[in-house]
Amino acid sequence: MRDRIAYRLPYAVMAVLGLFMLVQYYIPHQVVQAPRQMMLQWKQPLNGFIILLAIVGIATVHVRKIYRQERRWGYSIITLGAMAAMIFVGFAYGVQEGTIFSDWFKYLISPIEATMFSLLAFYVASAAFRAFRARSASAAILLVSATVVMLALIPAVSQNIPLISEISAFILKYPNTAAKRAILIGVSLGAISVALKTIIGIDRTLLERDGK
Amino acid sequence: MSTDPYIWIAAILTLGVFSFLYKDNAFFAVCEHLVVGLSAGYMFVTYWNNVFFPELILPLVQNGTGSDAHLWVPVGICFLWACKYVEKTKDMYRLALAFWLSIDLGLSIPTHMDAGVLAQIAGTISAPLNGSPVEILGNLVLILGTSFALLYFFFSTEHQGVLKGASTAGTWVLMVGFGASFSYVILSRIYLLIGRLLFLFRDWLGIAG
Repeated sequence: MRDRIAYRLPYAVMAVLGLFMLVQYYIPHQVVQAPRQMMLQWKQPLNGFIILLAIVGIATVHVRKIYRQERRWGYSIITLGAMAAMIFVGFAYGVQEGTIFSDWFKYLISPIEATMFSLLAFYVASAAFRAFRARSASAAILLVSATVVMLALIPAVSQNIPLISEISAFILKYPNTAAKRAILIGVSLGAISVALKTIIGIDRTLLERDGK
Repeated sequence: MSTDPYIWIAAILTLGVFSFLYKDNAFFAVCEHLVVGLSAGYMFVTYWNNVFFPELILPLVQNGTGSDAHLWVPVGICFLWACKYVEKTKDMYRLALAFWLSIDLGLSIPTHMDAGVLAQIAGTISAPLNGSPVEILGNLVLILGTSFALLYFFFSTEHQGVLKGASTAGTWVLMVGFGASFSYVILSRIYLLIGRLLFLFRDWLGIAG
């Protein structure tokens, strides 16, 4: 009996709160909006707590890796050391502009992340080389659209080839918007259906116990 | 050449990440693990300072028995969430997850319906069919293109006859959109690459203007 309650209670909580959060959107009365506001106030620190737990989780994984001396465990020392150092300077010297914390963000984190994303230029260029082949009507349309938009964004080209900027603007304003709208409508309808199925308990995958 | 030690460190790390273009190597792995650790530490401090401390701990310390007493509820939910890591109590975590999910999912339904469905349909069907010939053509493309692209995702009936023609036109519209998005992705990465090269040659080595 106790086990059955422990199993079913989360689904009940999900149904009651989920339907409440859905219905409150259409009832602007204080009786409904006050508890809504309170629940949103509860959720903010919970979001923060989940992030903090996730970071503790990363630390645990690396500590375990070092303890068991798994493959490439030496790099875990770097990760843990960097994490500890960043947390220390953040709490010891503050986080304002000009502190060690903000300098480390500017000169350590930003260059590595920017360079990692810039590396993708090589891989995207290689993917473009394979994708931009006019094997079919659809592929030809992709090629033409991408080429026109790309060329129009390069100042030297857009200044010397007449009408390319206008054609690019037309593509971005009309057919591109049409495609984005259709995708957005489809994604939204899909998200609504998944949310409803989860709230009313038809889809139980998110709250399953040990995968059962 | 720069004399700022921070510029030197940033340049060395930039070269370390670029070394991956040759192959996966120890220099790149050091940079990779360094950025994971630093980013995790950065997030920890940021979330603690901006969310967890001011929105939970501080109000509870200052007014935990008064008007902010309701904030003990999220403390309890946080404890339930932490139960995940204890074998005997890990089932309790599902309660915290249910609370967290129900708020997000419940809020997402009207939001998606308003912004993702109704607003998009309203924007499409209210596109004016007047103005210059280019605007009229563009708005026709917008109305028909959105409809055809939606028909492409309609799988309840087999695509034959008129529906097949419309869904094929829908794929063309989608391809134009994907081409435009892809070109933006390529260019944004190239701009980033130019930025990193400028940093190396201008800010670090001082050989570019």
